[in-house]
Amino acid sequence: MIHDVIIIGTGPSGVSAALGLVRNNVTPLVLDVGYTYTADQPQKIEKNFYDYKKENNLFDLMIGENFHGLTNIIQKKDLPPKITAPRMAFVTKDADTLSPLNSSGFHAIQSFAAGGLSNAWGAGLYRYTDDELKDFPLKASDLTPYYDTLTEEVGISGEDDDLTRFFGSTKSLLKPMQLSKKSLLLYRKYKKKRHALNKRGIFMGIPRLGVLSEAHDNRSPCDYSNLEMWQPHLPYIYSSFFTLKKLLNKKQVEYKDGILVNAWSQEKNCRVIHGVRIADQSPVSFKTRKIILAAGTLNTTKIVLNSKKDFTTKLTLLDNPLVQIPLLFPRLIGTRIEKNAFGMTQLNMVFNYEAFDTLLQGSIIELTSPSRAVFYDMFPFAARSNLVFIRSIPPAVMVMFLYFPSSKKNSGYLKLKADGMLELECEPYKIEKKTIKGVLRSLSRLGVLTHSSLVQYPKPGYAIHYAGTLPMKENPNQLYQCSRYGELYGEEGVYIVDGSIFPSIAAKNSGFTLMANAMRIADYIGGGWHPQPKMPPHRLK
Amino acid sequence: MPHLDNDAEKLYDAIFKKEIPPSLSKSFFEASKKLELRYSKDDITRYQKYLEKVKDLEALEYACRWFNRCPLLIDKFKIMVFLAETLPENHHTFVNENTRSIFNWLFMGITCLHSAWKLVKGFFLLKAHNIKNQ
Repeated sequence: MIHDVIIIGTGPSGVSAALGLVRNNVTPLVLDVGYTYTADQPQKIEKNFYDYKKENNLFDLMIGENFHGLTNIIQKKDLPPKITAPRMAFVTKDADTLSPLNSSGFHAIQSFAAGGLSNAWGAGLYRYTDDELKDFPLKASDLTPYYDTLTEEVGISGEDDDLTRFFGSTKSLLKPMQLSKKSLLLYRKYKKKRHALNKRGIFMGIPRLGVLSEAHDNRSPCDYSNLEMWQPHLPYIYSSFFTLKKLLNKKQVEYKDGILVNAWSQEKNCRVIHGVRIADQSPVSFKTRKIILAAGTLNTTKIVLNSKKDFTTKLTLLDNPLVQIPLLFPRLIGTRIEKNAFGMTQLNMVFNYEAFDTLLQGSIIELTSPSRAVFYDMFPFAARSNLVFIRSIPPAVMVMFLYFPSSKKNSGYLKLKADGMLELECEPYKIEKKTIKGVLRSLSRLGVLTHSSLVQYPKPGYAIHYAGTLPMKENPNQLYQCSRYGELYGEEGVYIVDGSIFPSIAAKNSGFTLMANAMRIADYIGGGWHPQPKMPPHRLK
Repeated sequence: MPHLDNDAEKLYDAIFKKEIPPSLSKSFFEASKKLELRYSKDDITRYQKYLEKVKDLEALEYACRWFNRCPLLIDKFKIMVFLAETLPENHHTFVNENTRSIFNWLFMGITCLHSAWKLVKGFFLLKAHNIKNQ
């Protein structure tokens, strides 16, 4: 049997591509390893995290029988807290064996779960502006209909505020999420000083989150129970797994899980996808007319290089340089923990200084959801003193993740070695101290305490916004470039729809643009709505 | 690994000044076994020696953290803190549910003095037991 289209991957880009095809009445076959969370564990939490914690032993929830919660200590890793929660173990399950990496200078995380990394993401969903698309063969208006469709599918909270001009249209947004006490203080302070701050190029507003502030599409809204770090598939945090399930229920896609795709080859009138069944490692193949690769930048690029048996080419690898800035609210030291809060992004800031050659974006994150023990070695005191500080300081702290746009000077490379291992390398990011000082000065104007000695500079790759290996070009003319429709140069019928094809990434989460672009390409493949008057001839009949 | 039988008790006492619950002792034992796979036999032997000879493990761990010595001891302290947080009886050690700002400021001040004393003591313990950066 020859399939019309096969999609590889069920992350946000793969599922958005499936949506794009479905609305053109094309039924794709979707392949993925597709690990899922099996909710057969004994503790099902129905109430607030802290109320529950007070009464129950949380070993299963916070550590897990395989000690997944201690991964960062036992295996000397530096994974984000959400990835180390035992119930989130399925998100990165077997990643080291299914796609081994040699990445000493690059912090790489891969997922082979159904829904990919969207099972554990921050769900920040931002539109790109024309400025941010300047390296793309696209305009923001090309993506607008897809942004709009996906806003309704996902359910995005947010509002029209000072950041609208950076984050795009507010069409169909749900009401904003309820702010935590600290965020309210900060936002009020900003509003008081707004005029002066705006003149300096500093803007603050409500984030655009794929988190439900009200019921949407049969999913319940956020209950502010602080469970975000611990419980997968909370109905109010969007994961592409939800859309996949919906498409499967409506029989609009075919889905085969337990398949790891390695490469494709060309046959006379079709392409053959080669992979292995995870269960018994037996080889498996599928014939198709068109392939949509959406396995995530690292794995998609690996499949491309492996198909071409290229073990020498080094491809550019991008990620957002990121710094973490703790924000201390001195008056709140020693106050009680905010039990009813949303423990993820609360506010966004944009720094659009004339002195900087680029626009920076900060996501201000509430720390009510992670375990308190993660703060243990952040204080420079003896063990028992640190416990006192753990109790007193975190209720007065938030963290800003300050994102920089990708740039050539801060890029790494990716190469596939003959033994099947991906080699990733990147020099430590070069971030100018004066830029950080400028941001810190702006923050101090808002009444929060911080200092350059407290700023953390994580390893390249920590933002987990990998991109740039197979960039889209207006006129692709060499290997490993893609057309504006994601078609790989020299490989008719092979389309790339994930972060690999982003020629650059803006200082914001690219997830939403990735989804919109995937849907746009799938719409083109399926022969539906298209903004370009002239279409290449090889569209699906 | 005979030292694993009693190190949980000693470390828990050093951090929380109370007797370790049996369930925690068991999970610490299992976690320690996994952790020690990353360390050499020499590292483990040295750790065992310090555990036997040093009474004030809190001071020793603090000095180790400060002067970058004996990472196994530092990791074991961290593991104990992570495991201890899962117990409901330790909830109030980790989570502040009452606003008592002045009391907290005072307590943090006192605790800084406590840390200073532990650092001095730990420094002399490092010297006395010849604990070097391996």
